[in-house]
Amino acid sequence: MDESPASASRPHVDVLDRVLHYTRLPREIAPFERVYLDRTNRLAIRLLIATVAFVASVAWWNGTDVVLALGLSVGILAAAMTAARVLRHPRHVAMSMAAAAMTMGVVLVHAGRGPFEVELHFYFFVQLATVAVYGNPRVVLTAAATVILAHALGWSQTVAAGGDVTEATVALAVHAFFIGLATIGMCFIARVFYDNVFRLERKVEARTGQLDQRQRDVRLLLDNARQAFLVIDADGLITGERSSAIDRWFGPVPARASWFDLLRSVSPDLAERTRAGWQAVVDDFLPVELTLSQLPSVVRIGACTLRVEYRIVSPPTLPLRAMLIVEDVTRAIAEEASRADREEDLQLLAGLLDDRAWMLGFLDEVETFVHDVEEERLGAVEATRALHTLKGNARMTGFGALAALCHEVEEHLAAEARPASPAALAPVAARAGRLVRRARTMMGAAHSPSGGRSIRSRLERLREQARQAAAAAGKEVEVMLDHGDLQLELDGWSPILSNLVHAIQNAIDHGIEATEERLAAGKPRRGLLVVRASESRGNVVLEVEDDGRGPCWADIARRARALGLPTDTPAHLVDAVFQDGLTTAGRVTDTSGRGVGLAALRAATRTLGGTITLRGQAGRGATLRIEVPRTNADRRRRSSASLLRIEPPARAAR
Amino acid sequence: MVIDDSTTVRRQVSSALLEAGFEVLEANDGLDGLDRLRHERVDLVLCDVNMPRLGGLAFLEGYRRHQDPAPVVMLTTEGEPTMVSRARVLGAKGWIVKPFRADLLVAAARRLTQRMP
Repeated sequence: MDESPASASRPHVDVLDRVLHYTRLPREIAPFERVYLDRTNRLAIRLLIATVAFVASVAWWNGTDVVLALGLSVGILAAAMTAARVLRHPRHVAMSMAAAAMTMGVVLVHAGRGPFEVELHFYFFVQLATVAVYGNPRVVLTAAATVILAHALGWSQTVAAGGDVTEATVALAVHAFFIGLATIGMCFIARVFYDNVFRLERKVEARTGQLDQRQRDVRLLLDNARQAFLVIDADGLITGERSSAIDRWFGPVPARASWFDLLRSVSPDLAERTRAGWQAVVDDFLPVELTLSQLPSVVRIGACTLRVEYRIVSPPTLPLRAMLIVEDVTRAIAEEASRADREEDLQLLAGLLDDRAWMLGFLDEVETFVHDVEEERLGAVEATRALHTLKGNARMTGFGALAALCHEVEEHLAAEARPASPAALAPVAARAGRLVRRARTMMGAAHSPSGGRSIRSRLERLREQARQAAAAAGKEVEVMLDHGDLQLELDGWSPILSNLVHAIQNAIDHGIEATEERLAAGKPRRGLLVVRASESRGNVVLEVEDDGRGPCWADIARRARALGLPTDTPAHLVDAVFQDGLTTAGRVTDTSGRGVGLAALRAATRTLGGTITLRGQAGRGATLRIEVPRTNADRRRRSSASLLRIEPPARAAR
Repeated sequence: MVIDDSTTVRRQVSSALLEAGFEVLEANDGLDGLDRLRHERVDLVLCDVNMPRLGGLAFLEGYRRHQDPAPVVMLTTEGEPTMVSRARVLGAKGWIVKPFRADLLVAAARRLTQRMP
């Protein structure tokens, strides 16, 4: 409504404007209104058809011209139906229906006689009221106008036929008055109906659109934060929104899944521990800070490590809800380990430069400790004492990480009132062993008591081969080495080391997927290949691990059966992988697919009295693990040296 | 009362609770504990799981038959789920993992002893 000075000084124009504005509906017609009007118009047609029958029966009952009545009413019906088909705007169709209904009323009234004629006038008021249902004041006005017009025609007819003008005029005026009153009322009702139903409908639609947008915004947050979130209730059921990362890590989450169900697919033991821990939270006997801190917080899925944090987000009076914050810390852990290693290296270097004698003395003690643990020479009491001593010395020499590790193991042993066993001391021995090897490398391998050389150069060569293989296969692969400078008699180990390339080739060709496939599976773009060398209880362990598509045991079983191999147990299937001639590769590449390479690797392993096995899960990757007693290879080297080689005198001292 | 076969643990628990104003009795296994609890009244029992002669779960079975037993919280290095649920069934209020944080232990003790009428 514009409040121009002009209209302000002419109030009647203002009122007129307002009335016009009130009776005219907003131009745009919403889908809801359109559907509604179409339906109502169809109903109107049906009512008109019924009215035709009514008109005919009234005419028959009153003895008036039935044919004429029928003809007129059918004509009106036809006009209405034509309008419905021809007019495009449903509001215009509505107005036509109103006009048709009123015109039908005129025929109806004239079909009656005597009291009927009077009573049937009620028809008009009923219709006038009913058209309010269109929610459109103009439809009401159309109906009213039609009636007034009919009356006016009747009035002029009466006058022309010489009837009582005064009487006719009074009748017209009175009728017009009442129709006018009814019209005003009905216009009001129609407009209110429009405002509250159709307009409201549009508001609701807009609001829903806003909510949808908000929902999308929340999703954006959930799915692009570094951490993934989900919410669980007292039963551990996953409720409400969650980050899509959860589905990527754990697989698609079924409708009524619980957090424990997801964990079970990774590790049943972890699922049970978490369930027990959550039960303690729900029981609420112990302080929530304590119970939350005792929930398992680490989940390992393949090569990935996730950290889980639990937070209660519901107020005390409402049903229990906890938010889980899940973060992929694989990289962080690797970086931290790397950093710790670097720090240790620096500490070694500094020690050797600043106080060589002290450092060498310390390293000798560490080496003794490691050997004693590995060869199980320590009794329970001695072991505990040795551990304690090592802790103190490590701390004094600046190797905080090693000291902390000793402390942790000490605490655990004290808590269980258990004496130190080789198994319990193994982690300390491993770390200490690494320290010693690094030191030896730093000082030059010449003084190494075991007479071996670092496996580093061989593995670095393997890494280079792996990179080339990946490039040749057109795959993006990151190759990582983890060897801790393991010392080996490389000659004796040569058969295995030279055949190890087959495992790598296999992983790259058949394990790691092409980039698109990895992205589609929600994996990081570059595949990960890890070559690990370590020592454990006198065995050398070599591992080749990838995060590719994993072994398809069904395929392997099929091929094995085709070759006539047994496939009853998992062990049979693993065995089959290493057989000559078995390949599940669809095609033979330049480099693999003949089914020969892994067989050679196994043969080499067995010759040294070791074991080789393959573990893996479809979609998550595979790990090939070779374990050989250290002494076997070393012994072999010595025997081969004496039997097969004639050492020239100059090279005898090794 | 704290029941544990490790002197170190008993000492750690005692000192944490003494400092918080509690009186602490000690026993070194389930049998010893049950014995003493026949004559002494306590407001809370902290009990280890793996002990010689009589372990934590067996202790629970015996203790719940006592008149008016106090709440029991298990001390364990693992929080192993089968043990935990068995203990819960036998009436334990929960468990604390060793090595424990002193402040959390004290908070738990305070809360459980407040419940006593």
